[in-house]
Amino acid sequence: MAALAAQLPASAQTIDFETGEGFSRLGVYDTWEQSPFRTGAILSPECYVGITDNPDKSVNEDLDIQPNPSEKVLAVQRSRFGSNTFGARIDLADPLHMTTATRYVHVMVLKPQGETAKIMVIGLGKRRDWKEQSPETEQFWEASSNTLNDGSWTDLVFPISTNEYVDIHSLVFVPDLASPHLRTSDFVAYFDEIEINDNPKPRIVTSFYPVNFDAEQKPTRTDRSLNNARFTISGETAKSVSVNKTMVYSNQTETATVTARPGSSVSIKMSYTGNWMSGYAYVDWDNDGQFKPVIEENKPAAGSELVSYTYLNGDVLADDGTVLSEKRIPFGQAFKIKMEPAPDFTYTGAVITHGYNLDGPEYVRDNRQYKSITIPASSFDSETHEYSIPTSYINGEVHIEGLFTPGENPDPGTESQKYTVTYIN
Amino acid sequence: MGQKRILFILALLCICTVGYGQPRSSEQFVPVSESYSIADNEPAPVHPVPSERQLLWQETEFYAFFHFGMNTFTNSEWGNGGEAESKFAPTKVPNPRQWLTAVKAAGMKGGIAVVKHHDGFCLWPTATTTHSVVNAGNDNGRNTNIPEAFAAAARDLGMKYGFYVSPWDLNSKYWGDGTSDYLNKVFLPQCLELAQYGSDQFEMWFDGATGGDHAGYYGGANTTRTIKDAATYYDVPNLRDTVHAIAPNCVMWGVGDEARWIGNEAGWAGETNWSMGWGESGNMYAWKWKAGESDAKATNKGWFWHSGESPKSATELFKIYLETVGRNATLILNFPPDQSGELPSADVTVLEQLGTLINNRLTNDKAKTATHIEASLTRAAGAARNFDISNVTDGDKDTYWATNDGDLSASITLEWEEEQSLYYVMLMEYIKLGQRVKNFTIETSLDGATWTKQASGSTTTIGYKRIVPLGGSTSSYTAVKAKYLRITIDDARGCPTLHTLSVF
Repeated sequence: MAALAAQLPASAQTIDFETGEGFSRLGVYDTWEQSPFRTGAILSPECYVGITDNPDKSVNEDLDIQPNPSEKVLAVQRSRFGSNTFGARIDLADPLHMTTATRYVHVMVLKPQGETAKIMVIGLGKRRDWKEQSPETEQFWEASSNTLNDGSWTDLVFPISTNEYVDIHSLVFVPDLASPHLRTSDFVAYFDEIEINDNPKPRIVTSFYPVNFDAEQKPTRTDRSLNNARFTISGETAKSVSVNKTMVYSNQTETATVTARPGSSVSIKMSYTGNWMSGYAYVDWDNDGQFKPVIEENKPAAGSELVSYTYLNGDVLADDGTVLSEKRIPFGQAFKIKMEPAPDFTYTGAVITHGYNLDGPEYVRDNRQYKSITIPASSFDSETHEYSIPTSYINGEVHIEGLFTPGENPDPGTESQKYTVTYIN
Repeated sequence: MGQKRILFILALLCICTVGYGQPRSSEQFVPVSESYSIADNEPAPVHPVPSERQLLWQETEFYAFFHFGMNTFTNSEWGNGGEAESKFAPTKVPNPRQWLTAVKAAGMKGGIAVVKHHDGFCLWPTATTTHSVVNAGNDNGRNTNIPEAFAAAARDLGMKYGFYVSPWDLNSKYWGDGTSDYLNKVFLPQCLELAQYGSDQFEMWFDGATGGDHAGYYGGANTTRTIKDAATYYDVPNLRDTVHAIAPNCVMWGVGDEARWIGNEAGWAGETNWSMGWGESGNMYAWKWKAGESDAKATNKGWFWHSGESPKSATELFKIYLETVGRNATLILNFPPDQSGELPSADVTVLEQLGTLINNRLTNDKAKTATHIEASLTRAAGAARNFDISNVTDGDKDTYWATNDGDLSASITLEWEEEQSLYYVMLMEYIKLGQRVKNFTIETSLDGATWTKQASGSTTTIGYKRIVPLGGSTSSYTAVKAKYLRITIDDARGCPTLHTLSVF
């Protein structure tokens, strides 16, 4: 395993295709009721899966790691006659006893280059207190957040959670979560190094500057985005790098270069659309293809590759100066807040949402669950930047969103053009 | 029936789903070259496809919601769980037969009765709590068993039935106490009790409301509670498995994860509406079949009956019908019984009017009287099945028209001898093989040479059923004069299929 591998926690379960340990049987599985693998129309389903030599033990010379040195791996033939949930089934030698905590299934996956559909893991199991229940009840389905497209071994992590009374008896790995109706041929996918533990992080990193989300995804909202990043080098004119807003992830390696000489200082300013935005700046000092933050006492330490950050454009504080986060306050009493913008930021006000089930819809069956009121900056004390939330708002769950924006401290005499009062008596 | 015996039945019904064998162990994995072909040249499914249970559920199309319970007598929508059982005192013995007879007149094929709302008061003599009809305030209440009476009436009337049972329980001391006691001692046993009122139930409705800052009785705690994750707290996979063992065609709605909420309570689905994904429009790329159900109120106040309420007009309800059933969603339309345990007469009247409206506007299928119907492309027939265009007017949902693989666009043209007044076009895909059509166009002509596009901009998905008003609006009833009608499938995920084409 590569150099960045983490030590296994004591509660880990592993499946080893070298020794045959950790599993009792192999087969295939399909959730589709009319699958020819369930109806018997496919005569030899067991031939679609097997343990075989690792087809790729190559070294990634760029990263100087051997992603998967295993001798033996699991192969599964993705049949075009199965559904989008057809895959390799592995019966565990010992059931996985679930608790209330989330577990993580780690698996190395190799697919042919160009096969871009996601992977899924399905858990089959039962209630351990229901003795007569079949152990083949589908307990969870987890799809990968990343797609695999470069034809090399990739380490995937799937969070899994069930009721605490559940035992997982089998895992199914679906190599192609897409409809196969246009396929004219099958392909073979490989799985290996399967572990179930409590670690949410991938064991190895097989790409430069990896991200833990789909790098090809498009934005699903327009109210929050990064506009540009401006680099000022030793006080000279800033270089602005714009962002392609049609994609969530924008790799500017080929199109933007910022040059700084040894000894110069670089400051970075990010411009956002939206509120409660955070920004992080990294520098790959050792040019190893990884950003390695080193944090001490909640701040980047000397030599850290996280060099700068802004968190949420500013803070909303309680009157005792503490940052507001999950605070319990007396019901029906006024509560004072204070705005503390980050450097080079100001505020236009705050949105106070009060009621219950704030994460849900505003109305459920015509019953209002909560109200949102925008408090303009002009309502805050011009010197202390404090505001006393009325007692009538402290009637349940209260959510406060500071409206921070790039600029100087607000002039309370200037009417903000951005707010809309949403409260209706 | 005890839980152990139920689980024994579950084990017998379990279907083996896997192919096993000794694992092949060889130096190099050799792919299988197995000869397999789909019978009768049927198209390969475009996944995901509905399960048999989901297909039967979607065929229900239009059914009723009946909110009746403690809130009927406390003028509430959400109770707090501390209401005295004696408050439940209907002035007559509740009459589910009257409810179902009334909604049947509107063309509804079934109904869902609320048997436990968030307040926790149970409308059947459950073994799990005394907060039920056994302690009601009068004989009418104490003689109430809604699931039993509702199921019997539905079977007698040839209608489908199911129950709404709120997972959230403001009365129970166990709900949200941080343990699995509520699940194991209350909710699972309640669902099992309800499942036993009939193995022919078609839907069990699980509301998604869960705690928060709505304070509840909770066995005397009088506090607010919440839970982290409904799917794990209610052990949904095993709850579903247990209910299916008893009622195999019972779709678990909402939290049950077999059908989705359409995303609003205003009575509409998106003109684009995929049977996968979430919200009003679904998502073509989602991996799981989860068709949308639209829940809407037929009256002008709440989900429960309130004094002074009145029903919406039949015209307004017909619009809702077109924007839900006519857009690949099912419609569950709420009619609340009053304190007598019956539907008010005004509701009964509007249901008759709605039935008349639907009957007048969506029967008399003119596609069956067209002198000529032809398709530009037709799939080659198999040994025992053909895919001719005549299949779309034969009244058989198991025969369908299709094109050959790779032909993602085709047109269908109807011709009448005389000029017709046409109001609606109804299309139904053969969804057993998945939902395919992405875009289609409807045109009409008086001479077969000059064509006029109709309902432009709104003709995207079809799915189980799509009803397109040719006049362009679901609010008006406007005819288009035509001697010819042409439907062009412009794009599809796979070769398009249609099992029914109707013109009204």
